[in-house]
Amino acid sequence: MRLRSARLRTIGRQLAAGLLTLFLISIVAFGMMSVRGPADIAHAKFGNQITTEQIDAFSKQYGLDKPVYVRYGKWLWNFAHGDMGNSYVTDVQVSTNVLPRFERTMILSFVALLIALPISVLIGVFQARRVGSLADLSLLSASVVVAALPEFVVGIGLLFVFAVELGWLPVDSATALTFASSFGEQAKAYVLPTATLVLAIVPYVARIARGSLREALGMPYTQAAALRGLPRRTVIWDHAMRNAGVPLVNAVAINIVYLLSGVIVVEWVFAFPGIGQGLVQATSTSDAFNVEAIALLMGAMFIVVSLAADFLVAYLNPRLKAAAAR
Amino acid sequence: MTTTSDVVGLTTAEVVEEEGRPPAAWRAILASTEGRIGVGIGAAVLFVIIFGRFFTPYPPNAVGIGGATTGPSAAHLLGTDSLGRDTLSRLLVGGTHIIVIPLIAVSLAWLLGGTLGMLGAYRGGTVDAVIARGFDLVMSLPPLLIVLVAIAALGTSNLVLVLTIMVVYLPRMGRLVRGATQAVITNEYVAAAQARGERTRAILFREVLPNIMAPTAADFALRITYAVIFVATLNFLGLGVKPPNADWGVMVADGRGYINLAPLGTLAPAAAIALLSIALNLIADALTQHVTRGGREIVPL
Repeated sequence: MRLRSARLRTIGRQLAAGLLTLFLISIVAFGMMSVRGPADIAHAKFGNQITTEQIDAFSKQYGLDKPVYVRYGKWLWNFAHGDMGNSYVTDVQVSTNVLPRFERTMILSFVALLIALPISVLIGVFQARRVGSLADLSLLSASVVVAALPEFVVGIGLLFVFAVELGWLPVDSATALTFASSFGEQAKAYVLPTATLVLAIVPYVARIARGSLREALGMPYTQAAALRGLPRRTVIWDHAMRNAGVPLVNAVAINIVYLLSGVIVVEWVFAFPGIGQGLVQATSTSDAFNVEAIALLMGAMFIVVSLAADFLVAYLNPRLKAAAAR
Repeated sequence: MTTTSDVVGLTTAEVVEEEGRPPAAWRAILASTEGRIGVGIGAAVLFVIIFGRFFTPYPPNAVGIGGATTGPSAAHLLGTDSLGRDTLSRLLVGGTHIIVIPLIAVSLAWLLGGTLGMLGAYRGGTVDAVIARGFDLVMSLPPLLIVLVAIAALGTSNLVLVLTIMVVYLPRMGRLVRGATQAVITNEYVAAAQARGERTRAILFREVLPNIMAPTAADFALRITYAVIFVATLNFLGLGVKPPNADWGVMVADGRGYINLAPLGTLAPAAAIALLSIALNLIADALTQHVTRGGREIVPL
């Protein structure tokens, strides 16, 4: 009972920290986007020929004549109620631009993680079982090289091989995903972006998996289990992995936000219409409401993912549970 | 200022300030195979970045030197881009930005973050709490998000890039320095300096700094690596260098639209970026392994 309430309190604390971070992101994003005055925005939109009266009318129409904190409060209130406002750059409702994008990005990141994590663990285990062998060393050097490459370089390489040379997959993902098309066409549009993200995640996680399992395999309890004649599979997956899993999930939890930031770049490479691409577009046109909305949604996504990883760590590590109870 | 003195700590401090890192660092890099490969590739890429501009066959920004978007030919070894500019010439001048901006930004982050980190660890109490909370606050924001929002708000320029990248790395480098300082300040030579009545600044820069150089140097190398990728990525996204100036990241992005017609226009600069970041990674890796002695620690970007 005590244990349960302590865990609830930990969860509550982490949730509060997550909400606080989101609040911070909203302040930073809104504050930064308010640096430019209404005159700048109007000039950028209508050209330099417009009169002062037109600027005034424009800033009244979008409420830009009010002080920042008033605008921030109104924006946050509306946002919390599902109204993301109208972009004063494109005159389109922010939600109709952002929400379909958000859905696609969620699918992309989720599928990439779902594929990348098991593969990384398998590669890590494969390497840890034969540390120092030719297979291990070549995988290690390959992972150093792949991890060193920026995502867009990996993406361009894949694009060249599979879309241009082999012609198996579409060069840009936008056509299949924004216009009505068959499920097969849509699925194809996901393949290359997912593969690039997977390639960005795998070398990183495999390296951690190799390291932590290698350590666990050197422990006396593992050797004792092996000497007792237990099957190798049981020793590795039941004895060593149970202990190697905690630092592994921990490291993944810490780095997952950085790994997932890659989605912004990957989407741009393949013209994949997700929020990453939307963010870059909105950034280059200084589209305030779109930037703010996407910053909040991405922040929320990152926070949810790292919270989930935190819970997994607590679930895997009985000592943490006990520590939380104390 | 400081004359050659009988205190050994002083002379080491001098050497450190001149070289930027302990002399042992170079030997550590060159002692490992991956370090040597990294230095080899890195030297070649750096040579191109620094001296490439003197060997351009055509003016890099001249439009219509050849046909638009042509493949490799005798006149244009790497072909031309969509405006008929010579790809090889642009490749030779396009690497400056992605190495200079990271160097300045990371150095600034190291100076400011390191000073704050040392100060926090040394003073403790409220000062430390404020500094540590400040670091945590900035680190809770996703880096790419900070930089993109800043560019959306302020527009892009070299100054904005340097400052935002500095803001991203400052708390991360500062936290490492803070940790390293906490491990060092319990030593007797710090107590001795305090007993001599030295001022905080003297203690931090003469007693503490030389002794935390090794882990910091490895961290510095790693941050440079990340920052180079960061800047290359921003240029690729069209948020860094403005046209018509040549830059590898921009070239990759521009050439991407014509990847069917002239693949080298995008593949050649991509390969240049790849070589540079692989070289830097290998060097940083060799340095980190030398410092930690037990495999590379995974440091969040």
